[in-house]
Amino acid sequence: MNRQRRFRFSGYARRVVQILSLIFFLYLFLFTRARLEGMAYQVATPVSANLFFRADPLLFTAVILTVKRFIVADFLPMLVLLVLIVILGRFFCGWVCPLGTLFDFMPRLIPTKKQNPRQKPYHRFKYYFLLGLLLFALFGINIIGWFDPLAILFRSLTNAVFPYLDYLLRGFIRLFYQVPFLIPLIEKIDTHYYQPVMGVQPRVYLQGWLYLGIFIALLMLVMVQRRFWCRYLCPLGALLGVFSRISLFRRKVTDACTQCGQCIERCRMNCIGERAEMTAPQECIMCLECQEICPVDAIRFSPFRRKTKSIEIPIDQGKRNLLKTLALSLLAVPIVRVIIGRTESPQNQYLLRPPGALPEDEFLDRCVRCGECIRVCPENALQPSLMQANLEGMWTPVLVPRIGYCALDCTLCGKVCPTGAIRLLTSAEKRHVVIGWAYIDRNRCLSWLNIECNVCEEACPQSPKAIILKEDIYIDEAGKEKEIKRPYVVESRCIGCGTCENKCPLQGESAIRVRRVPESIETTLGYRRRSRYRYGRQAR
Amino acid sequence: MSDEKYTRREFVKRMGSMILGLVSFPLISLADQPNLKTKKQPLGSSTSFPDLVVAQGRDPAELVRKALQAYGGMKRFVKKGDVVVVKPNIAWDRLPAQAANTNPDVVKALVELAYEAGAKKVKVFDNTVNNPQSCYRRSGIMEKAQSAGAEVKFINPALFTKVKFSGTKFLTEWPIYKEALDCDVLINVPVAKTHGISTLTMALKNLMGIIGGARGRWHPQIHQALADLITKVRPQLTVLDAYRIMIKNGPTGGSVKDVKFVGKCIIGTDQVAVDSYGATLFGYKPQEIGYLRIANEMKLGEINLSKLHIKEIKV
Repeated sequence: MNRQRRFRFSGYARRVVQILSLIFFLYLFLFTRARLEGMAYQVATPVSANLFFRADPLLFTAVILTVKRFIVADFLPMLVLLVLIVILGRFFCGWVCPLGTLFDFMPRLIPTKKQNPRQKPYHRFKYYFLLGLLLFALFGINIIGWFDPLAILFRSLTNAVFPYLDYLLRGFIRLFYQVPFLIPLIEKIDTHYYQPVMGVQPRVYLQGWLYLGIFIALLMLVMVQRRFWCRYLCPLGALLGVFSRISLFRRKVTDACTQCGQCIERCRMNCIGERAEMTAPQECIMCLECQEICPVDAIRFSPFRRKTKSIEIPIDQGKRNLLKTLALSLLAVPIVRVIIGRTESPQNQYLLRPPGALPEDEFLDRCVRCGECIRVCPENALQPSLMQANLEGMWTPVLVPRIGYCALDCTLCGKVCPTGAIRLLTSAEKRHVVIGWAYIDRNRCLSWLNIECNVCEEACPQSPKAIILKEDIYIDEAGKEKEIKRPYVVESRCIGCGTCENKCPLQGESAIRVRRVPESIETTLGYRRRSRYRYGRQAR
Repeated sequence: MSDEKYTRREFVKRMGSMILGLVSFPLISLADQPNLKTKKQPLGSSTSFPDLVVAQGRDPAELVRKALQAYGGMKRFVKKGDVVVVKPNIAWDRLPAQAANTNPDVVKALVELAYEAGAKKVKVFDNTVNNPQSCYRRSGIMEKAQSAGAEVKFINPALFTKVKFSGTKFLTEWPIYKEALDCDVLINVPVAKTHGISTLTMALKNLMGIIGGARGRWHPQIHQALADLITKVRPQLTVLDAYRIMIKNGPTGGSVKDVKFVGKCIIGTDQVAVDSYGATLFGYKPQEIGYLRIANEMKLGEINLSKLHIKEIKV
């Protein structure tokens, strides 16, 4: 009886760890935002906001392969994780991964197939997929961020789940404001609890619909099979699976086994072979469920082989598939390049990167599309791109001034970037880092249509101002000469923060727009200097 | 008779929700009614007190206290149980030393004085230009005002109410923040700065922080618009913070090089007179500032400083 109690305990322990890990992830997500106490822009989390991404060996490997140089790094969390993997196997997927936890929770909400299929030939797909992605990285296309589970979850939370909840809750708050006797209470909740966490103004993200779709579709995959993503697709799972081939703790089956087949049917990863003692250690996520449900208590997870039998299923039976994948990926890389075509500078002149972003080509090498910068931006200025930066740059951050401008003293995007794609700037440096230049469209600008407006000049945060007013003379309808002040941009002062574009009172497109700085000027001005960018900075 | 059979529980539920619905609808309309309390405010000179008090010194909070003392004390304006709104300039995401926003110590002193005079509640807010959170926090005003017990809230877009103007040239109707209109005492606390469009921004321009809508549309006729606005919005007290004034790159500034130390605080009931004195700090004549000239023509305040009784004190 003592044993049975211990089994239940292991199941509890896993669930508790899973929930704690999910809560921790959500906590880091929620507090990846600006905190302004002490008048300086800081990340609100007491611990490093990008901890999960710095612990992610997949992103690290891909970036190293793309940059082709070992990067000075703050990847201690990743080393810890790898050591644990070597000891405990692929426990990360079963115990820590927040997306995996959501997958495990889904069967409570939607009907799923309980029984595993007997055939299991598709597990290996994810290894080929991983191989392909890493080959892409080696040949200079870093698209790992599209498929990394942590990045997927963080992006979905930022772009879809957070705005969704925000809208819902704000709706309730607005409703309660209509009931007079509730106003004092709701006002207190709103100002003291709601606004500090969710922000004063609701957030806008251009691709919320897309992310919501992807996220829901991913969660729905559990209707086909439990942990469908983890079984067949997840490249991070594949990488950890390779490592767990050498892990110490393994699933072992004792002679007590009666081959009742319950574990084979119930295994959430479908990693047990035709007979109960056949295990694929690279697939086993150490959830310990089989140990829990075994009616004769024949399953052990231990580093010892005593009195147990076990047969290991390899990743793949033959080398042929491996070679095929290699060949196909090698063929695919140039094809992708031919289709996408990366130029030294992007064709889109309105493509603005976060302040301190590396030159475009290096930026694309490094960016893992985790969405940390998009989430932390206090002005909602950073948005995930769809096609603005070409297919290759999909979901990388772009600055959209019409939605939000770049706050002059804020350097948070550089602080949270886990790969150094955005440099960490000081506040003083930030005032000189050029995102782009503002250009006035004189056909649309009110002041140039003889209606004195000059809101852009008023809002320009640079000192001395990058937009200046000059007295001009125009001739009105009656033929009389009249004086008017009109805005002019002083390029040497403009850093392209986009405040002017944001505040321009015209409907629709602004009459003053920030564009990329022309490449030739960029090099002559000499701010394309290369410094040593660190991988995995700790964000505080 | 109908075929449906109601259980008692269902009947109570339905009646309850109907009554709730009927009751709450009029309440909704109640909540939307603008409640305009435009109090008459004495213009020009009164016998016992000076028109303006100008205090000079090195401690911003002390400046306000001493100036107000010489002006009859806060009790002259705030009665016991009043709801007071202190409206500073918090428009910009700037630090106190950059003087783009009102000095937080001045705001704090006013909040304290209002409470000492018996105010029930003191509210501090501004319709910011930059991100409200950044402005409130980085200006230091949120922290300082809250420490003095003020209620510092962000602008709630639902609380703007349309105000009709008459006898004006530019404004006919414009949304104005209800809390600024509904209060018993409105204290306007601007900071003195240069401004690309309106030349200078002081008391009148600071009132743009209680209006909503597309404020940029005022710019083509900013001078007329400001004069029109003060036909309806008359703060009982105006405190011009000229401790540090911004002499260039206004209204945003951003560098201490844009700021000049003056160490003054000007208070008065006539907001146009306060601004007129403020203009002289920048070397302008009040007549040179468009909105002051127009306001004077519309008989909304005095710009001829020689006609005013100005008391200067050293702190």
